[in-house]
Amino acid sequence: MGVSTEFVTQITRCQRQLHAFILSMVWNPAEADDVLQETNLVLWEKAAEFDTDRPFLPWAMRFAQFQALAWLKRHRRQHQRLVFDDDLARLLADEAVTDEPVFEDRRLALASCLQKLPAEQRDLIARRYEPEGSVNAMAAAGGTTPKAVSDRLRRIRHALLQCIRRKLGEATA
Amino acid sequence: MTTDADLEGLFNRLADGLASEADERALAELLRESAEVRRAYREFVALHSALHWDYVAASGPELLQSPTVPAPPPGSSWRTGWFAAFGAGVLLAGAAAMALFLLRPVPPAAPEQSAYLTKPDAPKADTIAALLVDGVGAEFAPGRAPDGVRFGPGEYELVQGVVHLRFARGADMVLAAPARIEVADAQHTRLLSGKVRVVAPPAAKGFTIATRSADYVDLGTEFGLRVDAASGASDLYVFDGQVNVTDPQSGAVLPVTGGNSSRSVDGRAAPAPPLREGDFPTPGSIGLKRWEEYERRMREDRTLLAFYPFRRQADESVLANAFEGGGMDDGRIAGARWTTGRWPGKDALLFDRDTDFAQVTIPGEHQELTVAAWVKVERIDFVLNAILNSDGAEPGGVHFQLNRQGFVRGGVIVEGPFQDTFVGKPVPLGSWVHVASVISARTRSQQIYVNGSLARERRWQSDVTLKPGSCRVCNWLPDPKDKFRIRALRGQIDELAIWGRALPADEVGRLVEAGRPGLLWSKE
Repeated sequence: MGVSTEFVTQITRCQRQLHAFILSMVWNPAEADDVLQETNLVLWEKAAEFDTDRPFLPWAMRFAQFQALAWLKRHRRQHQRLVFDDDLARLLADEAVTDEPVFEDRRLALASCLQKLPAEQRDLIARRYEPEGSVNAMAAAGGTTPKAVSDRLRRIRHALLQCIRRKLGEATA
Repeated sequence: MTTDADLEGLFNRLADGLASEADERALAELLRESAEVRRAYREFVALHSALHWDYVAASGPELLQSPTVPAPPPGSSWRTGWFAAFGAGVLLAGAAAMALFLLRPVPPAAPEQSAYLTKPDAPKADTIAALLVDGVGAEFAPGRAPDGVRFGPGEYELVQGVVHLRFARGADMVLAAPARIEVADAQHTRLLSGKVRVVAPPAAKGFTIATRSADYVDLGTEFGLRVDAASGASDLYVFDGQVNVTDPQSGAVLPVTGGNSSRSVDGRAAPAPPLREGDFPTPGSIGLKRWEEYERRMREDRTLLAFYPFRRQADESVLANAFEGGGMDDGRIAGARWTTGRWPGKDALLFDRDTDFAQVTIPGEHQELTVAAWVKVERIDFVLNAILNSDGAEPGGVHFQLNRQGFVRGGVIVEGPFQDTFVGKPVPLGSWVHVASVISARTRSQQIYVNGSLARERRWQSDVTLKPGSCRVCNWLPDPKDKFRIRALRGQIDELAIWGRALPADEVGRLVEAGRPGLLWSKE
């Protein structure tokens, strides 16, 4: 196989960040999983070409960018293709790399912020993000509209984002 | 001017699949124009990704570390509906069945843990996590055995043989002895020692095997995993797709993709030893292995006239007889083509044209005769459709066929009247079926069994000696005077056995059990 320990460490470390970048282009998390899987396949194939003297994430991010664009093309997402042309995809990928120093801190902050949510809000998040969960299914189950469910989720996500920012601010203060 | 609230509204609509075309156009414009919007967008998407990752992609290894896993359930009530769903392999199609197994994440218990969210409901006493689909030579340790074919939460130890389990969300696991597993639920199992092959369809995405060194999260794929009981090292070989190797302590994820392997020792990654052929048996290989053992036993039955295992020869027109000493020769194949039978690796003949047949000769005169075959009937095109018929219609000739409704019929050609005293169910189309015709001139009767159940009984009054002679399999060399001259069967056959005695019903039943395509195969 000929894959270095360094490569294994690096690919392990950047999984979540690659997923987040891919998700910024495909929007559906389960579909982002599929694109990440395709990206990983390419990364393993290209492992021998990886130059250990250079940073890993920008190198990997480039493949994620190509895979996400190819995926949008394959799935004929006309509108998304209008949104994400080559230039914008590249810009997003380049800027995503700059988040690397804070990405893990944000994740840990989120874990703690979730704890602070009222039980009813945590339950709503759990149902939205469980396998096969969607606002449409939740609306159908709760006798309400998808928009009403999405509005409630928006408020919770807002609270989480605020909480994460506060925590990161605390850490750097 | 776009406010922060407008932006968050837009991002949320995109994330929840509610965005309009106008929203998408607006996003394109905003992202291109403003670095600040792009930063806010990245922040939002990172949250969206993290919530998905923690609730779905990362499964719950902490559940598997739970020290108190209930013992396998005692003889609990029979869950027919679940059983049927497992057998069909389409569990997810049934929303009701799905709901029973749905993982309901609960709020995080400890914020610092990586996989802090997903946790199934506590296993119920009568929960079935997996069913035994097939096995060969399987022997479990006392007290660590499944309840019949049912695997509830608990520990199991396979001391001999190979078994095939199907989990409730569709993951297949082949376990080769010696091996110990601890089943938590339909998506989580701990491999304590031994070897498993896992084949997980997309519906079972997230199927997780925990080991001492790492957790292996399947993303819809096929892989082999071996745990060395002494060192605790685990070796992963991904055959297709991707498996995420997760360190339960740090939450670090190593994705390993098709064609690659990885060893984990005490949370560290290392190169795995080379894969050896046969290390991880496939589900299909179990059935074939079971059949090969059955074939060896069959060939010891000195009352056989012939046993045709339908094994493809160098000369593909030869239907080899594997039993010597019964006075019958190899058969001859005309037109029928070789294909795959009950299991991958098991040969079969496909008959799908009017001119396709195989010819065998059953020489001599007999008082008793049994003809048994495994057939898969694809379609019924004619009034009569032969399984095995003597050429023409001479007295003493034997016929074994299906009518247009799929009912078995036939017997020996006799002078004078005969009565059908019992007619059972027809042969199902499109699945493997065992059919056996038992004829006795002594009792002047014939019984035909379908999957071991009596499906027709015929009696006659006159004396007759059985003289089958030259016969066609899945076709008939017609009597020119007959009204129904074309009797070509459309389907496959992968085993044919002929005895010079009348097999009793229980012996026919044992043949069905020994040759059944899988443990979940239905006789109905």
